[in-house]
Amino acid sequence: MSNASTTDNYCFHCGETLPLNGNIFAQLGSEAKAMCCEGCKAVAEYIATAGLTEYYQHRKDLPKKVEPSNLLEKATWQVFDEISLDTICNDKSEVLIDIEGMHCVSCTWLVQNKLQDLEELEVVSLDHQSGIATIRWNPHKNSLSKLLHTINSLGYLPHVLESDAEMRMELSNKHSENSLKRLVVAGLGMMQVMMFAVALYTGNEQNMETVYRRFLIWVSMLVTFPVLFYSGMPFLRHAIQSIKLKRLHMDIPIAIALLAAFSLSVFNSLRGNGEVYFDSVVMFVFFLSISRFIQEKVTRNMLSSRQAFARMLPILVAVEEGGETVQKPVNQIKNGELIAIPMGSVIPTDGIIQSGNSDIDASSLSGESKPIRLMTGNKVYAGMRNLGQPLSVLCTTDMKQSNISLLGQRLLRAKSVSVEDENFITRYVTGFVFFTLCLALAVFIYWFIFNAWEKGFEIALAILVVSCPCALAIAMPSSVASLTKYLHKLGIYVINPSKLFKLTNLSAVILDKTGTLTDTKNILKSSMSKDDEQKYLTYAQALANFTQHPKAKFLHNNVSSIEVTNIQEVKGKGVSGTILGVEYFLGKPSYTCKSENELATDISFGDGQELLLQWQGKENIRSGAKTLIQNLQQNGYEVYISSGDETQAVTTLASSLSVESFYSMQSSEDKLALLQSLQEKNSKVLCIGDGINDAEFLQQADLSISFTNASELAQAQADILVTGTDLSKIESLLDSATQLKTIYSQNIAWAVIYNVVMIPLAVLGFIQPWIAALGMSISSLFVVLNSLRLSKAPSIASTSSLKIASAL
Amino acid sequence: MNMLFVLIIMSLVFLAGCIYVFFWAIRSKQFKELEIQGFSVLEKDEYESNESITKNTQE
Repeated sequence: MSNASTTDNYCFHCGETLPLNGNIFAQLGSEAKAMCCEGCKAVAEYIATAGLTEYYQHRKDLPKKVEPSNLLEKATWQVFDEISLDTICNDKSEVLIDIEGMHCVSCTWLVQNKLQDLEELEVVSLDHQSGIATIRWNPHKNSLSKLLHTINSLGYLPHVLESDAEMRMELSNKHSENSLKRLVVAGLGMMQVMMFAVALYTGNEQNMETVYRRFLIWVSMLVTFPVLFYSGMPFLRHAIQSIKLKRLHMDIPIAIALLAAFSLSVFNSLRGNGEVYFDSVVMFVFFLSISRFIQEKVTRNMLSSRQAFARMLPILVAVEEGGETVQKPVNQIKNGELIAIPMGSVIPTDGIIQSGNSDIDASSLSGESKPIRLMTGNKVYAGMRNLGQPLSVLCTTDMKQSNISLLGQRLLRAKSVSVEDENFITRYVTGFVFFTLCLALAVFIYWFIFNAWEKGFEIALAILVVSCPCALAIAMPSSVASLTKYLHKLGIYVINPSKLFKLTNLSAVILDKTGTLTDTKNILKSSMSKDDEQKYLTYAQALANFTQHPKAKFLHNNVSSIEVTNIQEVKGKGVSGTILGVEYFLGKPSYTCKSENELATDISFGDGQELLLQWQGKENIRSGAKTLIQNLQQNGYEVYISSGDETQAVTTLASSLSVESFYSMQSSEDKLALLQSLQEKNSKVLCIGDGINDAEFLQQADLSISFTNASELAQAQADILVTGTDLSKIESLLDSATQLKTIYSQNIAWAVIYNVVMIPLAVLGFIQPWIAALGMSISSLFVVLNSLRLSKAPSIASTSSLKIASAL
Repeated sequence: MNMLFVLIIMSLVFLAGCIYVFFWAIRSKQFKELEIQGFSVLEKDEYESNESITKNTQE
């Protein structure tokens, strides 16, 4: 290892700080690189042998540290081979895999290239935003377990998703592909027709020969045809649909204008006399397509409920079958089976504890901040985490019928119902559409009576085109899209942009307590001098590095120069080791010292005789919580706290934050009821929460915020995700609402003024159809450019990219 | 001036060709993930040279 690079202190793979006494190196080609742990080492070497080291030069984001426990043996994956998969065609199977940890482009490059080594395998789609891969392969040549093992070896956790037709549709993204094709046809077609139009206009003045004139008109018609009936199809189809539903939609005047202009032009070119409007038609279709294309890009969903479940539960569960322990994929767990829940693992389904007793963390289910002690005979629910002893649980439901699975199905259904959006703009646009239709018709009839129907037609057409409510319609989506971009830079991810606009008219806020306003910190308690305390703390940290127990995690510290020998871990008690000749213990008080201190949540450090240090879990108010609540109250929001925790804890918190309305011991249904009672009083409610019990009210809220470290189910329901633990980001989010409002009003004002000026001009016949099409698009362009001002944010140098720079 | 007929028809054929190429590019997902396209040109390292290196270090 002579050429090992030890110039910096970061793990080459994940960028974490290296342990000081660390001597883990991975052999990457001719170089040895320092690694923080065995997990990262294994992954880095796997990448190197696959010939994919270029990943390290080109990646923009660092992967998460690879816990060795997350790298599973090849044999372990083999249980997945028994799952029956649909065979698509020609003996090919298809599977949807949620690849946890795959979050940037270089990750997808890595996965794609490695998977291509496997025989007869096709990566149909691989999307780093959703993290979902669709893979098709020949089951006779390869097995699913090989596939999963390959992905896992690259450091990602693959979850096999149950695929159904609906999900595949969502993923195939056919829609946006088609709208891009339509845009291309419209754009290229427009350029051609405009070119012919210029020739025709100049030809008119210089007396072009009729034969050329007619030829150019015929060619224009030929090109206009696909532009109108391919690129313009969505508008025509929408118009027909809304006529069938007897509703006025802005596509109706569009469709009427397009079809009327096109048919009159065809009629005129057949009889060889009169005006043609092919140029106006293609221009109109192109500008419409481009604004629709931008709108479609804005809406995008990130983490689906289905993925949320997959990521929350363990991949494999140990099932006891006739005295033997068998590993089974989690979604194969059936009612009546006896499963083993190791320490730190999440319980996959509802059941009854058969043997063992342990501390259970139910905070994400109920909001209760303290772990609860459960023993044989007690009921446990899917989603609870086992913090202590291994448990044996008798399942009382299938995994798919557990409480949270049912909750998930409820959420999925509700989502598909609440898609219908009714904002006042749509209503306004409808009225406007009705007005322009009547106006155009009236003008046409007026000229028809005076025997000049051609002039009447031209004016009516100009009215329909110039008054196209596009500017009005994109005023909101464009400003929201631009704000979304700005917020992204601040570390605020807008999942559901269509709801972002609700920011501007909120009146009440409901906050969850545990995990939202508070977090649990382990507070050190000792009765010795600061120097000794510091010394023993470093000893405890050194010892903690040797255990994976979730309770000791907060002590994990990779920079430890202390040599520990003779390490022993006693299950359910703690870990011991010798430091400088003295044996120390870390774990339960009964294990570390001779005292009879039996507090379940405590963790202590001692030398076997005396208690040296102890930590107590204490609920802390998160940074920024106080100022957030103060600001909310000052800005006139009604603030409510709704928590599943006991009354005492909630009361203390509410009084220290001076919140008057608070509710404790709230179930998921109670929270929902509170929200609905507020909504009945016409309040627009912002909900902020992080637990599984918050999922339902997050979904029903007018706007909901969750955190990137919240339970996956809550994340999947939230409209906005905030990174980190700092609540001040929510303040900047609310501040940006004012800006959004300003820009939006400007957009609307512009659209209204434009119409007020242009429509009378068009009625008086001053505007030709092609000028109308140009005017319409310029007004839309103005709206888009104005909205872009929202995305101008102070460019924050992302800390992660700095970290990479120093790690490489 | 009769050349105009030929030239315009040629330009239309060319247009059809352009649209075909665009459609092909869209279908092969070149527009789906603009960032990934930059990565797709990166080739894997020479497989064998890497394996030989690993062997060397093992020896």
